[in-house]
Amino acid sequence: MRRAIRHIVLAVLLAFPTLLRAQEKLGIGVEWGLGYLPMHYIEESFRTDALYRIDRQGWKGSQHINGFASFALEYDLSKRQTLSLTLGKRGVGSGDRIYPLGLRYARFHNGHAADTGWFFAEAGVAYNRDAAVHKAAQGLLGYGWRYRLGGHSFVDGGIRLAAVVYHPDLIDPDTEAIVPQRHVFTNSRVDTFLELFIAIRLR
Amino acid sequence: MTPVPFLRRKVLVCLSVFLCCFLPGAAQEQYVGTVQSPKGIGVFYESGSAEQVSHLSFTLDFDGILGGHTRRPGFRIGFQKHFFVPVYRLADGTDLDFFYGPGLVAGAVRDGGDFQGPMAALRGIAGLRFVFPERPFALGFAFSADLGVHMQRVAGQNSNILRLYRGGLRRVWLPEIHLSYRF
Repeated sequence: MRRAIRHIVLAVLLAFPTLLRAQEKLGIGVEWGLGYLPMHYIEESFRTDALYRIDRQGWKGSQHINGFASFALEYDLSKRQTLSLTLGKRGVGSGDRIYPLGLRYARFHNGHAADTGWFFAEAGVAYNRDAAVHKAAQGLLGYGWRYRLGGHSFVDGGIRLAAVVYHPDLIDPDTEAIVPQRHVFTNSRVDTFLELFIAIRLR
Repeated sequence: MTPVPFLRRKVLVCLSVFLCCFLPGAAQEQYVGTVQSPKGIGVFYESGSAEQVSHLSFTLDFDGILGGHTRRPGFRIGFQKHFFVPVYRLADGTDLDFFYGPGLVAGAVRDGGDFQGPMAALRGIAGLRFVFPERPFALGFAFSADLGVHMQRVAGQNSNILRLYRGGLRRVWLPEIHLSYRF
């Protein structure tokens, strides 16, 4: 983890002079919203404290509401396309907090500096703070509407679909304690969200 | 500006007249908007002049929602006065104002526990507001604090106790974003 942070810092330092040069093409944004989780997929296999094995697999219904917020650094590829680097925080399932770092491609029907509809796709890696296995990943697809408030500020609103892959701690059904990692054979979970978002962008 | 369709205008006028009955002072500027925060989301109505407005809000309280502890949000109704101090005018004509004001808030919230009990509090709010000249929108960033009481259930007993509403002070650092439409 520490090595990853060192790499990120190094990359930012190297990119900084380029960023200064590209200032006119850069924008920043904050995005936030709420997600509704109707279903999730699990694949888990572990040994309990009483030494029997539990295998579970398949789609499960779940009803959670989770919030998310992210910060984005946006770069204009052309009049209609932008590429952004996003860093955020979101809740998944019942209590795990993950920090996704992603790359987003967005396409605006009438150009990014006008009132317009737009869509985007984003993919990235994430850090799960609340589980023994920290690695996670997030993918997003969305459609939004951009409204120019004036000058260099815009407000965006829209809908997005999110899929988060992560590895939450497993609970032993007998002892209700967390299953130690050495007793876990497989453990993955995919949460699929339907989300509403609002964003404010400055450029 | 595009004309507002007739039906929508009628609904907005009815809503405005209804709300004006409760708000003192002559209405010159009117705003309808949403408040967005990790503390909760809601809608508000503002009426007043460029120097001060009366602010009436209905908010869903997200205590325990975002952490996944509950799925049932609390609610709060608030009344505030906002006083505006012009700070700066940007090159494109956007006005930046500082605003502050006192208020009252009441509702039913969890405040960290499981029981959704009634609360009432005094509220203080301060923030910055951008008013855009070309478009009928305003954008505000604010912080607010609530000092008041909350009714909680005593564990294991069928009785209630009145305590300090801790959530109002604990969540002061969480920002609020006000996005509003001006008539």
